Amino acid sequence: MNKNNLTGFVFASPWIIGFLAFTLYPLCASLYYGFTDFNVFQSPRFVGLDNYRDLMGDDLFWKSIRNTLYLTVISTPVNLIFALLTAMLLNTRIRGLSVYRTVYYIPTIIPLAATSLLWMWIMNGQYGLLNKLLGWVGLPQPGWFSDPAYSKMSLILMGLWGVGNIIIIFLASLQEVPQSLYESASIDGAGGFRKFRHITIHWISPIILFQLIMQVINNLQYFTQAYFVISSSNLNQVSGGPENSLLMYAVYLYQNAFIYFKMGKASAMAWILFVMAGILTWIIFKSSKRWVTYGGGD
Amino acid sequence: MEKRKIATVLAAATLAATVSACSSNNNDGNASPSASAGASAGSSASASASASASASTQPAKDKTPVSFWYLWGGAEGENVEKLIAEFNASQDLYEVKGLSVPDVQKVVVGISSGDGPDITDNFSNNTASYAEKGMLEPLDAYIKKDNYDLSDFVPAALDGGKYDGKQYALPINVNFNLLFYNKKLFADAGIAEPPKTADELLADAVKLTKVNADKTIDTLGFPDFPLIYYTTGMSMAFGGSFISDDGKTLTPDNPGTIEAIKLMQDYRNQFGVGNIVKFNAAAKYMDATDPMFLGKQAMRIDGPWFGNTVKNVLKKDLDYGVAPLPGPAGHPELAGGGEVSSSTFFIPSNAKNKDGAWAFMSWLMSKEGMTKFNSMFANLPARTSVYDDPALQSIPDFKAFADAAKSPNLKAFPVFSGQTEYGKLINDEFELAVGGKQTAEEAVKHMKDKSAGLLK
Repeated sequence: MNKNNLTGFVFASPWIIGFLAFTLYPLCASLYYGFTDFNVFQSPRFVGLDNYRDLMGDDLFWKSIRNTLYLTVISTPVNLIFALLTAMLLNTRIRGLSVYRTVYYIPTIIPLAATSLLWMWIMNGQYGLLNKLLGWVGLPQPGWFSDPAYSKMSLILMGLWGVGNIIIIFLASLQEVPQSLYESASIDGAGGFRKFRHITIHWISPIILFQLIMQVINNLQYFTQAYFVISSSNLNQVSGGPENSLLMYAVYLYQNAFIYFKMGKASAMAWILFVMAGILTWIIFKSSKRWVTYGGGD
Repeated sequence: MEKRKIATVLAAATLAATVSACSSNNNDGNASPSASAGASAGSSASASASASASASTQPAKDKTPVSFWYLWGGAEGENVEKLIAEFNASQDLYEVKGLSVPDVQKVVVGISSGDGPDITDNFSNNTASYAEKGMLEPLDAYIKKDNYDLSDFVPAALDGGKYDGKQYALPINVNFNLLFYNKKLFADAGIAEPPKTADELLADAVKLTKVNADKTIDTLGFPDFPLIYYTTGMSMAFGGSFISDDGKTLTPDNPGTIEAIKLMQDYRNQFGVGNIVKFNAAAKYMDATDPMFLGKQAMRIDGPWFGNTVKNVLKKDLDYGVAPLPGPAGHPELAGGGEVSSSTFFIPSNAKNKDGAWAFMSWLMSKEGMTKFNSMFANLPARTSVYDDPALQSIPDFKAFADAAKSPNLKAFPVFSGQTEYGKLINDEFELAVGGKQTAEEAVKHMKDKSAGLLK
């Protein structure tokens, strides 16, 4: 190691130390805790695979996986398609464009807690704005967050309001698509949809891949909104929402850790989630060879 | 050369900062009430301490701070601050700093991270679970040292703070629920008296229910909201017990639970499960949209705090009556049953100022402190010797609760370390059953199966 290297390491040391102490160490510790019976207040006791075995026979664990996968499988494409369509609209040349762009981005700035509380009122089954509107046009008015058949769908609808971040990245990538490609396609007689399918989608496919992976990982870790909806009505009781329909994986992990003090079980859950996210990401990457094009020639 | 010097200094500084941060963390986890650790606990509570502009405004230099987190908020939280101010003015060793944290989980997370309070309140049904994990400081040594008199506590309430023979928490009150009913709605429906049995409860509830044109519920007749006050409470009122008499077997499959589920199913089936669930979900307990306050709920299972909130806090003009929970039909010997619990206070085992916490707790649990607390909160004190105190007589419904407290049919939820999970799975299966997803028999069978491994 020469002098320059040493200087470099020394300057990077704040980050390196922080990484070792606050990221790598907890990561390794949680792997170990996953094999222990640990309740924070007493020292951990090694129990081998008991936590993993316990989880395999735990109904709520499987319920939380089903809930989370349901949310991920539906919410991810819905969010991406909605964001892409909005981004395309915001990419047209119309009057007041900057106003629209701002309006669609603003919800992203609002804290998730506030967003959740707001939408819980809008989607309140009895007094909510949404059901008032549905009533006027003669449609059924479900108890959005109170009916287990609708509660996850309500979270997904609520999520659409906050896709501003995805929109902005799509918008930026749409503006990168060279106009000349569209022009030559027009000359060849391509219509709007063909141009979208063969030029736009191809050109931004690396961005779609990135957004897809981020959305999948975010949805697997879905916590805040579900937590708020649950705790708004549980009177200090442990709850998973109506019939546990909002018991997301991360919420159940949190309950095991901080309500039942089963840190070992919670750590095991964290690692299972990590493996699940890894496998899904790997599958997406594998499939991406078929549909992602890295063009541009630069 | 110069560059290297700077780099070395920087590195040294970083290391020093990291190391000192670690060591101060260790101090925080330590039990010793050192000055620095105490100060850091105080700073976390200082935000709310400023809100309590109390009589003792002079900065207490010599007093060691005692951090006290409480679950109450709003008007009740202000009451707690009044008591804190009174304690602080009463002596010169400790300065209690209150912080309203109306979320049990937040308190627990705070304690588990070592940055929790020195004293906090909770519920008797968490004592065993917390104590088993070593989260609570046993109070026996303090009680012995001070020769602290506990002889006039309601035994069941004191037991709620015990685990494995040790006293881990002290109860400040005795909680159980009674049936509150809206007198005007009863009169409108031509019902003279509150229901005494399950049959009467259902018949009255059906008469009292008003339905909108679109079949949604306008006025809820059955004490369906809040559901969690119904589940275990009505099971016990119908003669059920969740543990065998020898304490060795969990018995969620008791006849009381089955009857409680069936009764609610009967009611919900008449008016549509969806309509009732929607009604309940829209209602926020003890809030502007609480249907009982709006005259949209005819009967409510609730605790002694209900009357206080209505009469003293919100000053609502609500004409209500209080009655024992209905019992099972044909079993007058089971009348007056229900579920007893307590609000408790405990000192976390990793508290920084345990002596200060005990000083505050023993003050609050004294006859005088407890009377003050309960007259503010309109609860039934855990010490029976103060029941004749004139200060308590002005509490709304005090007599009804003091009388009901004598019933031998009041029971406590089983005390064991897995009771939180036990309670959760009872509520889960109960909810599925009254939501029309399974029969009462299936529900109690699932409760039984799932709770099999909980009692070790």
